[in-house]
Amino acid sequence: MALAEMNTTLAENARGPGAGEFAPSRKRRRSVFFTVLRHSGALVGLMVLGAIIAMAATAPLIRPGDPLALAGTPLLWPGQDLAHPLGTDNMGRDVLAGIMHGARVSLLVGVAATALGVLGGVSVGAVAGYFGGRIDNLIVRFIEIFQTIPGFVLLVVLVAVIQPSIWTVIIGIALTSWDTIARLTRAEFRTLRQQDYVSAARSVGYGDAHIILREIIPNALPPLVVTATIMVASAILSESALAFLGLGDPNSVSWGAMIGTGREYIRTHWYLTAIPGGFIVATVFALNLIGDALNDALSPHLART
Amino acid sequence: MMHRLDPGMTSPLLQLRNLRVSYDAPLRNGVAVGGLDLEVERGETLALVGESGCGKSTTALSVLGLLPAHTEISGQILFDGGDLVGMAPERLRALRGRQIGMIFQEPMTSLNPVYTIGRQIAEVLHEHTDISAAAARRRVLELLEQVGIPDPAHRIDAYPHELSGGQRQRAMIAMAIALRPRLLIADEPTTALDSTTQMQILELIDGLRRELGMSVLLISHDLPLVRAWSDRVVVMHHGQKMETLKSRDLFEAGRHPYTRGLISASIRLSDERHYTTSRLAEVRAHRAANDEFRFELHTPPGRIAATASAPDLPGPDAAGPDASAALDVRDLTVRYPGADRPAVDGVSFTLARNQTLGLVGESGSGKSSLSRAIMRLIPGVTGEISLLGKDLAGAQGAGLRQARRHIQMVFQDPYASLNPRQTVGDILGNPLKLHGIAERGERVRQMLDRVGLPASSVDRYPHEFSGGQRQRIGIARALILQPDVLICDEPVSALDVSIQAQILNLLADIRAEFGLSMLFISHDLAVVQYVSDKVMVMQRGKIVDTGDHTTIWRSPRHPYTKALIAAVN
Repeated sequence: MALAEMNTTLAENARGPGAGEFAPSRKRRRSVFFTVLRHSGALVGLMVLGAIIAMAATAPLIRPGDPLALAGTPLLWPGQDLAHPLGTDNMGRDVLAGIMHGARVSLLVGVAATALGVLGGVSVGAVAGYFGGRIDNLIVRFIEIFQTIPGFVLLVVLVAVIQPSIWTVIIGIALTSWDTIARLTRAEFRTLRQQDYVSAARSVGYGDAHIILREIIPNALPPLVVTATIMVASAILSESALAFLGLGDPNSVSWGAMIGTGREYIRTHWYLTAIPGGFIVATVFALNLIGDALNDALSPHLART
Repeated sequence: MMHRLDPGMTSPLLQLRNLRVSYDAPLRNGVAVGGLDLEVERGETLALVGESGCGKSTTALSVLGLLPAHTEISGQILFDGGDLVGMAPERLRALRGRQIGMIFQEPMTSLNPVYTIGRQIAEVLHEHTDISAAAARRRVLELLEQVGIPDPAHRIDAYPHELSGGQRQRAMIAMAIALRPRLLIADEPTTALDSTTQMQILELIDGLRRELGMSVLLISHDLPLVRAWSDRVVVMHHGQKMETLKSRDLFEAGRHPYTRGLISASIRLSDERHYTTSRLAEVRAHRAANDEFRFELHTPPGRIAATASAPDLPGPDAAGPDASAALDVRDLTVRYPGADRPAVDGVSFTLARNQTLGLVGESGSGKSSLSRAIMRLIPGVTGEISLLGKDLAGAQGAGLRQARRHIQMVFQDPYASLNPRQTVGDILGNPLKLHGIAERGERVRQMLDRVGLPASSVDRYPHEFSGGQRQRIGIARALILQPDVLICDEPVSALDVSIQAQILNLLADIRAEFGLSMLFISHDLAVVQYVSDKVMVMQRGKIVDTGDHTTIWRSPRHPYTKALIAAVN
C-alpha cells in the first residue's frame, strides 16, 4: 500500500501550542532557483539552453558577416572542410553560421512572442477574473473566438497578408497564443479574489489596480511562469514551421527555413535537415524540462502557504 | 481474521506501550509522539485531549496504520493482544473498518462527492464480507436508521452535498460502525459542526457505544466537551502524556500545571466569566535545558474597567441614525444573486462607543455576510450604515477610503487572511503608506510590540509564524490605521485554547487602550459572553434576540437562544 504524502494540516500542527515552544522560524524557503537545480532534468535543460544562448550571443564573433552570403563550395559534408565544420548547403552557405544566427532568431521570436502574449493574456485575464460579471462574460466570449480558430492557420493567414518580417511573425505568434494565458489568469484570479487577504486589502482601502498588481498577481505567478516557459517552446516551433513554409522573414536566417531549403536534398544530403532539426528539438526539449521543474518547484510553495 | 491472543474480557482492548512516532518529511520533521502509554478499556470512551501539535492525531493515525510516508514508529500498539506495529499491511487493512472504525473531522472531505452515501456505506460491507447487493442495501438502510438519518429510504440515494453537515457526519458514523467494530476512533468528530448538532452527534456516538459494546477513542481539543462525553481523559502535550483523569473531575482534579493551564484558559458558559471581572490565565511552555518542558501559568495583571454604561440606547425603531453611536445599522439586507432568501434580512442595531457588541449565531445565519456588508466588501447590500455619524453605505471613492480608516476587521482564518507573498513589514506598512501616514517604520515596530511579536518579524513572511502569531499580525494590521470600530469575525475560532486566551486578553486590553468599539462575531457562546457588553443572537439572517451580557444568558427570551444555551450547558 502506497503511503500518502503528509497533509498540510498535520504538517502545520507542528507549530501548534501543543507541540511546545514555537518561535518564528528562521528557516527560509529555498529559493526557486536552487530547487530547480536539484531537479536533474532541469539541469540538463538549463545546460542545453545555456549553450544555445551562448551560441546566439557569440554568433557575430565566431561567424561574422551575413549568414546568408555565399561562403564556400556548395554541399560540403560536415567535417569535409574544417573552415565549414557543419558543412555548406546547396547555395554554398555555411551551416554553422546559419545555426548560430538562426538561434538568435529562434530565441528572439520565442521570448518576444511569449512576452507579448503573456502581457496581453495576463491583462485581459486579470480584468475578467477580478471584476467578473458582464466584463468577464464579454471577455470570455472574445477568448472563445480565438480558441475556436485553429491557431496555426490564423498565423499563416496573418503573415501571408502582411509583409513577412520578424516582427510580424512575433506579433502573429503572440496573437495566437495569448488566449491560453488569459484563460489561466482568469481562473487564478477567480479563486484568489475570494481570499481573505484580498478582502483585507480592500478593507484597508486599496484600489483595484493595487489589489490586482500587488496582492493577486504575485500569488498567481507560479502557474503563469510554468505556462510561459512552455509558450516559449511552442513559439519557437511555430516560427520554424512558418519559415519552413517559406512564410518567415526572407532576410533573416532561421532553423525552419534551413530545413525548408534542405528538404529537397534529404536523400543525398540529410544533414542539411537533420542539423537544424536537431537544434529545434534540443531547444524545445530543454524548455519543456525547465517548465516541468518549475512546476514541481513552485507548486509545493502554494500548498504550504 | 485477527488472531485473538487474549480472548479474556479483562485486559484492555487497546494498549499503547512506549509509542514513539517521528516524522522526517519535507513538511514536518521531529518527534510527534514521544513514548506514549495508554489503555482503552473495553466499553469505555477514552478521550485524548491536547492542543494542535500535541500528537493526538498522529496517535490516531498510528493505531489505524495510516501514518504518512517518511514516518518512523516504534513501541507497541496492542489491539486485543495483537501488535499493530509492524503488522502486514493486508492484515491491518482487514482490521481497519472491520474491527476498528474511524470518523474524521470534516465529513465533507471524508465522503466521496461523486458517489451516493448508500453506495459508499455498502462498499465497506462488500470490501470485508461476501454480502449480496440486496442484503447490503437492506443493511445500509438499517444503519442509516440506526444513526438517525431521517427518511433513510430516500436519503440512501443522496449525494454528500445534498445532506447537511450533521447528516454527513451521521453517514460517516454509519460507515464506521457498519461492521460492528470493537473500537471506534473519532478524531475531532464534531469540530466542524454547530453546537446544537455537536451535541446530537456526541449523543449518537455514546448511544452506539453502549448498543454495540464498542470502545471509543475520542480525540478532541475541547475540554468541556470531553468532560461530558468520555469516561477518562488523557491530557497530552508535545507527544507526551501529562496526566490521566476521570472525566467528571477533569476541571477540579487536574493537577498537572499544563492541565490546569488549559482548564483556566478554556471558558465555559456556566462559569459566567466576563472580561471586567476576570482575566484569562495564559499557559506557556518553556523547554528547559534538559529538553523537559516547564509550564508557567500567567494571568495578565490589571483589571479592565467596565465601560461607562452607555445611556439608554435607542432601539432599532427610533427614527434617524444615532450620531453618538460608533456604528449604527438600519434595515441592512444582503441578497446574493440566485439565493432564495436574503443572507441578511433587515438587520438593525447600534454599537455604542467604547462597547463590545457580541453577535452569536450558527453557520449560515448570516453573521459573516453582515460583517462583510458593513465593511463594504460585498455587493447586493441595501439599508443604512452610519459610522461615527457619517454615512458609510453610500460612500464612494476617496470618501469611502477615508471612512475605511475608521473601521477595520480581524478575520477568522489566520492562514488565509495574510498575503503569503508579502513580508509582515509590508502587510503593516503599506496601509500606512496608502493613507499617507509618516513614521511608518516606527509605527510598525510599536504595533508589533503591542501585539506581542518581536521586532525582527518585520522582514519575515507569514508562513514562518504559527497560527496564533499570524492572528496577532492580523490584529496588528487592523489596528495600524488606529480605527475607531473593529469588527472581529470569529477571531479565535481557528485557534487553540491557550492561544484563544492570549488573543482574548489582547483584544480586551487593546479595546480599552485604543478606545475601540467592537463588533465581536462568534459561534462560541462562552467566548461571546466573556468579551461582550451587549449580545445579539442571529438566526437565518435576522436578529432574534438582544440583551445585556448577563441577562441574555440567565433569562433568554427567544427559543433559539434557549436552544443554543442548552446545547453547551
